[in-house]
Amino acid sequence: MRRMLIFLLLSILLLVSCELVQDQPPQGKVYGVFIGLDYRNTTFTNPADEYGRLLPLKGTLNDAREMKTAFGHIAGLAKLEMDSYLMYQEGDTKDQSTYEMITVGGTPIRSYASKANLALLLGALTDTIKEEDLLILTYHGHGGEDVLFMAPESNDDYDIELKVTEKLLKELQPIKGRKLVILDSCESGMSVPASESSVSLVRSPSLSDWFDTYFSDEPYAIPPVTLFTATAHTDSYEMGDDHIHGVFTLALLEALGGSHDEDDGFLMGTEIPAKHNGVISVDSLYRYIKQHQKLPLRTTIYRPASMYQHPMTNGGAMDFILFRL
Amino acid sequence: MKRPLVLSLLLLFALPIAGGNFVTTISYVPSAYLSIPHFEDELPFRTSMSNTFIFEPFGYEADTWSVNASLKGAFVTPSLPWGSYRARGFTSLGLGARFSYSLTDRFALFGSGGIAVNRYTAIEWAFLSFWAEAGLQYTILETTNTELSAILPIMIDLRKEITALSIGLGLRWSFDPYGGGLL
Repeated sequence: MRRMLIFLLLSILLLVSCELVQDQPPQGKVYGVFIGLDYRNTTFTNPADEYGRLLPLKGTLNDAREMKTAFGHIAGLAKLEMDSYLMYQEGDTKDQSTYEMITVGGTPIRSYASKANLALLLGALTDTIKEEDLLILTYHGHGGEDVLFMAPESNDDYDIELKVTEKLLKELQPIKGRKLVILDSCESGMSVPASESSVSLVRSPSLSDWFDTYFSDEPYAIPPVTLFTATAHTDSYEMGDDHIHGVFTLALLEALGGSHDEDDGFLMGTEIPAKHNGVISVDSLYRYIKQHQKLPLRTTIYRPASMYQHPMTNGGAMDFILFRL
Repeated sequence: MKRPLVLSLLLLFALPIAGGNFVTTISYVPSAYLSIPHFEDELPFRTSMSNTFIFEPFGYEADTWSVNASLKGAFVTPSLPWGSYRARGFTSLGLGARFSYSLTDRFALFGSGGIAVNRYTAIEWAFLSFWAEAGLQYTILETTNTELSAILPIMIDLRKEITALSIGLGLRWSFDPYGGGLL
């Protein structure tokens, strides 16, 4: 009996050490694409929008610029090299020549946030990014059900809808490496696919959904692109007086150690609230945002709220580690 | 699916109260929780810690065997961070049945199984799982109405995308609150 106990305890010790005995795989370079639009040059009429047109947004450019700073800072703390690209649309001009050029692997691309320029940038990144690299793409702008709205190329360009599942995720598919897409736009959670192995509690599953998911033949795989969105199926909001941000992005910036100072503007600290057990992961960011965002997550009969938003990310067994600090 | 389960549980609950030998049990088992993926991952398995609490409100105890209905709560931590991913932590609430057979005065073998609903700790996704468990029980202390045992369970957690093996060493405290049954 004693031998059996010793054998079992030794087996436990041997098995437990799997992560401890293997060296961590090398972390590659970080690439960041940060997209922000204020829609002041847009005359697009959205039939699905109750306002009929895309109203200007005041916080999205702050969102994109400060996310670029924040992720750059975190990459520095993690001792990783980072290339960041800001794609934006600001003011009422559609003249792309006023936007600076960015060069990716020898390809010059205008930083104007149109669909065509984004496709060019992602195409150029396909040839640049390696298996061990990490790509973070953030979008701050208007959105609808599985759709984003990019900047028009000209006065006659009304083809500004960028389908997330059909187009954006397919454009990201050939890019090697690990990929995270952060969307701060209305109904952005509609782009998060159903999981093969778990049910979303935000989407109120029925009892049969639980069993159907468990017994379905569809196998689970780690998603090729991880989505992290501001909201599930509702609107997303902006907040602030002089310096405006998306509610989700503001909490995300704080999770990464960012803060706002009246005199010095946006500052990055050395304390990273989302750091948990030495890593920043999608789940650690998600947890922070859920606890700290300035709007409630849901409306309930006890706590009714007209403005609320619930972040979403992919379901399944695995949490995506972004940085080891 | 639901009716046989409810009837079985009612039977389990009714037997001990009617016939005496009614025992209630509380167990705690800290264990290593090894997630073996059914999908492509960087490691053959990921390691987490599990803290399992089992409450068996109704059990029937005969001379050499016993049967219990069990409520199981488990807290599984995220796995150790390695590479690009780690297994998510989750909280589990399960319902099951346990059977044990005494080999000697001190040693017993036991087995249990059941179903659990599980919710990831950080994100609002949940999943269903089934578990089966077998192990060895050693009675450390025995009085008229209580019994304290050490248990060494090996559990298999059958999840959709993971089969998890859990090996722990825990304590189990049984007591007979009515001193031989209600009737």
